[in-house]
Amino acid sequence: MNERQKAKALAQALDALLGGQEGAGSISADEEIQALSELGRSLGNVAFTPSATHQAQVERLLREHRVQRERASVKYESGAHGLREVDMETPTTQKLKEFTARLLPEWLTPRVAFSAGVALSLVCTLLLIAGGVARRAWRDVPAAPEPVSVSEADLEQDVSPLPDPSAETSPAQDTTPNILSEAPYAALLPLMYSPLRSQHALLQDIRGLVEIQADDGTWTWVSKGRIIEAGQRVRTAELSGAQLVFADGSTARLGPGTEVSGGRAHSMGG
Amino acid sequence: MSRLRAEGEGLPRLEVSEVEALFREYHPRVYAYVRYRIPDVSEAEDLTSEILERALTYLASYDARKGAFSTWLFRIAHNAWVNHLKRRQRQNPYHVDLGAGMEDLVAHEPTPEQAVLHKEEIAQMLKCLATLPPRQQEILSLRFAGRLTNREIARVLNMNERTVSVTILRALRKLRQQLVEVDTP
Repeated sequence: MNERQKAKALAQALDALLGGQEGAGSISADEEIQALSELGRSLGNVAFTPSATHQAQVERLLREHRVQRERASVKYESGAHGLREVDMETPTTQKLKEFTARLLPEWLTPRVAFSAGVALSLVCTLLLIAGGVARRAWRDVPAAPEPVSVSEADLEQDVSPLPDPSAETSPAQDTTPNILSEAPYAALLPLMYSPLRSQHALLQDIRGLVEIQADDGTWTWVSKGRIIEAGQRVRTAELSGAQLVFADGSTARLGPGTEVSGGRAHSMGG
Repeated sequence: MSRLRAEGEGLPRLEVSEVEALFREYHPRVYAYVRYRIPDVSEAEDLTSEILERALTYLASYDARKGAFSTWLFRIAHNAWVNHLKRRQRQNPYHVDLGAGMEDLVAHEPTPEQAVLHKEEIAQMLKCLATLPPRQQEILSLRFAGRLTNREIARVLNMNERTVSVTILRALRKLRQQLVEVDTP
C-alpha cells in the first residue's frame, strides 16, 4: 500500500469515526486516527452564541424579508416553458389589472386594443381632412342665390363669337387664378351646387373687361369663375368676352360689348 | 400549492416561514464558521449579517434541485469570507489572544474553572487553526463549524470528495502537531 492509498484509507477511517460509524477495521483502531477523531470532535463541540444585538439584527433582516414578500404578489404566466414568474406586483397594481380584466373582454388584449386605437385615429384623421377640404370649398363659393330668370332662348343667342383666346391679350385681363375651374375638385362642382343650378350660371372664360352690376348699381370688374346670381347684370367691354355655363350644361358666349340682364342678353353695339 | 414559482426556470421558491426556519437553523452554524476564522466578535457578527443579508437578497437563485440549502448558503459564506480577506489584505493574519474574545463561547463544563480551562483550550485550538494553510482552515471550518458533510464541502469548494477527506486528515494531523508543540515547552 503506497502513501497515497494509505492516506485515503486513513481519511476514510477518520470520516467513519467522525461520522459515528464503526467498522473501519483495524485502521480505526489506530492511535493516531483515534486522536484525530477526538480532536475533530473537540472542534465540532466548539459552539458560539451570537450576542442578543446580533440576534436582533438577524430577526430584523428576516422581518424585512417577510414584509417584502407580503407586499409582493406573484403572478404566473403559462408560457412555452411552463409556469414562470413574470413580475412582482404591488396589491394596488394587481387590483387595477383585475379590474381592467373584468372590464375588458378577454379577446381585447392590449395589442389588439392598440391596433384598433391606431386604426380609429387614422380614420378620424382622414375624416377631418375631408371635412376641412369640403368646408374650404364651400367657403370659396359665393353664396347668395336668387333665381336667375335668364331665358334659354336669349342666352343661346350668341351675340358674337369670342375671339381666339390665344390670340388676344388684354392689359385689363384678370390675372387671379380661376379657383373654381382650376381647383382639383372642379369636377365635383355640378354635384356640390346641384340645388342651385337652375338659378345660377357660372361665368368663365373671361377675357378682357367683364363687369357685373352690384345691387347699388355700380359695376364691378369680375375675376374668373364667378357665379352669376339672379337679377345680376353682366357686361363685357370691347375686345372682351366670357362664357356662361348653365346647370343643364348649356352655354352662352358673351361677345365684346354684350350685356346680359335679367334673362336677356343684348349687344351694346360695337 | 405550498411553494411558489420563482423566475426563469421554474425554481421552487421557499415560503416565508420556510425561509425563516432555515435561517434560524443555519444562523448559529454560519456564525460559528465565521467565528472560527475571526476572533473579534463584532467583526464576526458583521460578516455573519452580511452573509445572511446576501443570502436573503439572492434567495430566488437557490435551486433545491441543484443541491442542499446548506451548500448554497455556505458557498455564499465562503465567497463573503474571501471578500472579507481581500478587504483585510493589508493586515496580518488573525491573532487570537488566549482567553480574549471568547465571551460568546458556549461552555458546557459544570464548574467555572473547567469552563475557563475549556475556553483556553478552544482559544489555543483556534490559534493553531489560524496557522494552517488557508485551504485547510476553510475545510476544517466548514466541516466542524458549519457541520457540512464532506460531499457538501466538496460542492461548496468545487473539489473532489476524497480530496476533502484527505485534506481533513492532513489538517487535523497538522493541528494536532501544533497543539502538541504548544503544550510541550
